[in-house]
Amino acid sequence: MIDQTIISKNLYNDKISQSPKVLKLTKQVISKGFILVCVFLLLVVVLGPTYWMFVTSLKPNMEILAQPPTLIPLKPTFASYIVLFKSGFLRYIFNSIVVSGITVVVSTILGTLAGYSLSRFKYPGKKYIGRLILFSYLFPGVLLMVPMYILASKLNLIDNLVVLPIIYVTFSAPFYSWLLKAFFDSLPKYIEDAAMIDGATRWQTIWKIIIPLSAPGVAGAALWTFIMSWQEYMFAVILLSSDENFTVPVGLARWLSFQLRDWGVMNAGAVLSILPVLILFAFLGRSFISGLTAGSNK
Amino acid sequence: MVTEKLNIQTKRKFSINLTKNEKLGLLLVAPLLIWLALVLLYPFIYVIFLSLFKRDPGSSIIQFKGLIYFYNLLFRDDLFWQSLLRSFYWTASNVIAQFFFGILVALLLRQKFRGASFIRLWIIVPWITPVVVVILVWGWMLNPTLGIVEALLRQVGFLQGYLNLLGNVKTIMNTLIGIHTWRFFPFVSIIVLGRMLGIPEELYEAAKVDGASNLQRFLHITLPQLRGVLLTFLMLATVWTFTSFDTIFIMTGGGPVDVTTTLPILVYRKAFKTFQLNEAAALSLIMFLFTSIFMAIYIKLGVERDD
Repeated sequence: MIDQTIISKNLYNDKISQSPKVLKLTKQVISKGFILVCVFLLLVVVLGPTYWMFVTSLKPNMEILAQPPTLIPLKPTFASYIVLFKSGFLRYIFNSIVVSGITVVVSTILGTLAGYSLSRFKYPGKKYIGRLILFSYLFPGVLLMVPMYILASKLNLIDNLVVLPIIYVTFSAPFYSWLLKAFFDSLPKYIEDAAMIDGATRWQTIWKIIIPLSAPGVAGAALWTFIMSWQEYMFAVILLSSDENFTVPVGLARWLSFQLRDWGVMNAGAVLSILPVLILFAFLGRSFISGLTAGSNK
Repeated sequence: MVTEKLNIQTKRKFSINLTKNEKLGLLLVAPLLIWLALVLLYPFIYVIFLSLFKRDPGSSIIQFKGLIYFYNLLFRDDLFWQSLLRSFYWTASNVIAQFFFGILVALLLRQKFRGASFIRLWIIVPWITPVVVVILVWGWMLNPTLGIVEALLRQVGFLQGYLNLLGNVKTIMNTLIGIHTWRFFPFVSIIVLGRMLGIPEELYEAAKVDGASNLQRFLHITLPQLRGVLLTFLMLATVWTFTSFDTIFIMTGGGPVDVTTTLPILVYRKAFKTFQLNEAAALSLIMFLFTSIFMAIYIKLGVERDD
């Protein structure tokens, strides 16, 4: 097999040297150009809307109404943001940070422990426990819309922010543990063995060796959890009722449904809602993507 | 006395069977399992209870209703069948579009060009954008009088009047599918690309040498290598899309005149607009039936790949 490839490789090289070099060059240039055009179009499609909301949020009202629209704000202004801050949007952001923060912390504790256990230990029923966790990750939240509402009202947790992290952890911790299991699987086991041979206890090994080593995996999974809970809408809208408790998605959607047509302010709200996600992604994006691909290719 | 002794003995036997390491392993996974039992399993059992029993408000009498709520849905509710068909249409169109564009873009990003690693990372932006922001910005861009999309089309001369893609009963469902696809296809691309980059380069070189065309290489090398990832993701995307609530709900709430009411929207309406909680629970279980068919396929595929 290998011999064959080498032989045919030589054949192939001979063929190339015979063909006119100019033709090959133009062909390369055309295909390079084609790729670049496609990539440019892709960028416009994928990042265009985000760019457009930034631009709109910085335009004064007159310019927003201009036809045809200006692609770059001629007179950039923060007027929309000032209106936004006066409207109580910061309260939504504060609520969302609290809810997402608690969700990330609790998911990290539950997910890391479970992921480590699934990766490193052997015990009866482990296979089924693993499958059970995977199944709960796949479980669609919509199906629990009705019982969550009833149970929350029985526990007097309607319109109480605490109820959201409790639900969000349920849907994020299983995938968290799955990502971490994949990550721990990729760490060689002899690291711990060496530490234990040197006299470290199991807990010391976990605390001093495993936790520092798992930082990239945790970063990716934590970012995923943050993104999920930051944008969650369904449970928030059925369980929250007063304006002061709204998270960002509920508050913003409420504005939209009021047909409030102040597009500058609404786009400013959209920018503030996506900004934390983009900033975190800029720092943790790589471990996020690699964790995701590793976790799903397993 | 005797039974107590027996109990202690069996207990001890059981604990002897577990080594210290096994205990620690179970201890580490236990918090997650307890959490899931309380916040996932218990509410799920509660849905089943709600779909079969009725509690009269005011009294604590619980009545067994049999399958009456399912019967009402299946035979006395036209909206159920309409929504079911619409859910299938929504799911199929979305998943097909997501995978078509997702794979196409992954093939593009596999090429070597300047800035490839940057784009491979940031292409995910639509997927990490909160749904409500997606709806807001697309609603703004597709606005018939002020939006950039129609303005550009008019500028170029493609368009004379107004499209009003979001205000038109005929186009609104497909517009929503387009928006949902826009948000999700980068995720497919990232996953598929991750797998593609793991395919050994030698395979392609060997095929090239044997004179295989681009298309042949895609069909005979790339696709078979992607098979596992694609199949599992197909199932995942199907479940996610079938049960997706917020895109449609935030944009239209199921309207105008029900033309965008899918099953998840119908659950919401039954539970919180007409207060038929039991029917809503029964409907949830019907949805669960469909999703568990998809999930069964997924788990089966996953098991096959594990072995």
